[in-house]
Amino acid sequence: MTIPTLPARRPALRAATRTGAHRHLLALALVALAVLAAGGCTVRLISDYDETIDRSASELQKEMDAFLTDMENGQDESVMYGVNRGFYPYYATEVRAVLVRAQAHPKNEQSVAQYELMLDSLKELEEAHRGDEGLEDEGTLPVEAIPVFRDLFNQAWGAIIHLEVAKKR
Amino acid sequence: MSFTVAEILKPMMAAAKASLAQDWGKAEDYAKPEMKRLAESLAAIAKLVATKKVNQRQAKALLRIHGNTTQSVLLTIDGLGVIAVEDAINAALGAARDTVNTAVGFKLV
Repeated sequence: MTIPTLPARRPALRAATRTGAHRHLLALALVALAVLAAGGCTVRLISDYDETIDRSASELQKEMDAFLTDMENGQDESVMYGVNRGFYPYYATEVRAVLVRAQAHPKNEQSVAQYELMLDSLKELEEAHRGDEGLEDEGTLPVEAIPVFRDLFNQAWGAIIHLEVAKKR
Repeated sequence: MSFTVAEILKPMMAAAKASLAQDWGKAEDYAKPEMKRLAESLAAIAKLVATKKVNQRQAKALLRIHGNTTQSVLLTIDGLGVIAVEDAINAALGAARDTVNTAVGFKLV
């Protein structure tokens, strides 16, 4: 018994079917695009600009610069860790306040990460300032190293501010 | 109402390309001096260590801070890239909108 076979579809008909399916898909994509465009839709891949964050970041940059400049120009006890230990938790609180605000914005991962890096850098600065075990309060930041510390912090704040300002659109 | 896919695609691609070219320039303008600055900081740290102006703990702290600052700069470059893509997509959408409206002769979308 021979198994009946379906008549082979004519090549021209197969091509026409394929082209028809493609045309259908393209038309659908076009309609989707037109709907997006019609809704006045703008795509957002990153958070909006936040003026408060911008202003806070500028203030914090200035505060760190001022602190390091004081350590550079001060003398004796005034530049020792013991006298200045209060600066570190205070500054950390200020940075965390901006971090929390940055976290409140969706699609703001880059900026959030930058604030977390800043907190880590602050810890490292404190570590560099602290004296050896048993003499922590007498520790000082080496005067020759302070311009490098300052430049690194300024550059990090610059990066944060640059990104924030770029979000204005 | 009649327009082909090519008629919409061409202005969309042109708009996206122009937008990306402009935004790439901005990212490059930012990245180059920042990288130079980071390289200079690293050289300065090496000199401080070589001349024993910092102790081991301070040297480690400086390097860690340098690493954090480098990451921060890279995050900004990454963010600028995301903004560039966003701008390109929106430019293309805008071009699609303009093309459709021109083709139909009135503000359809």
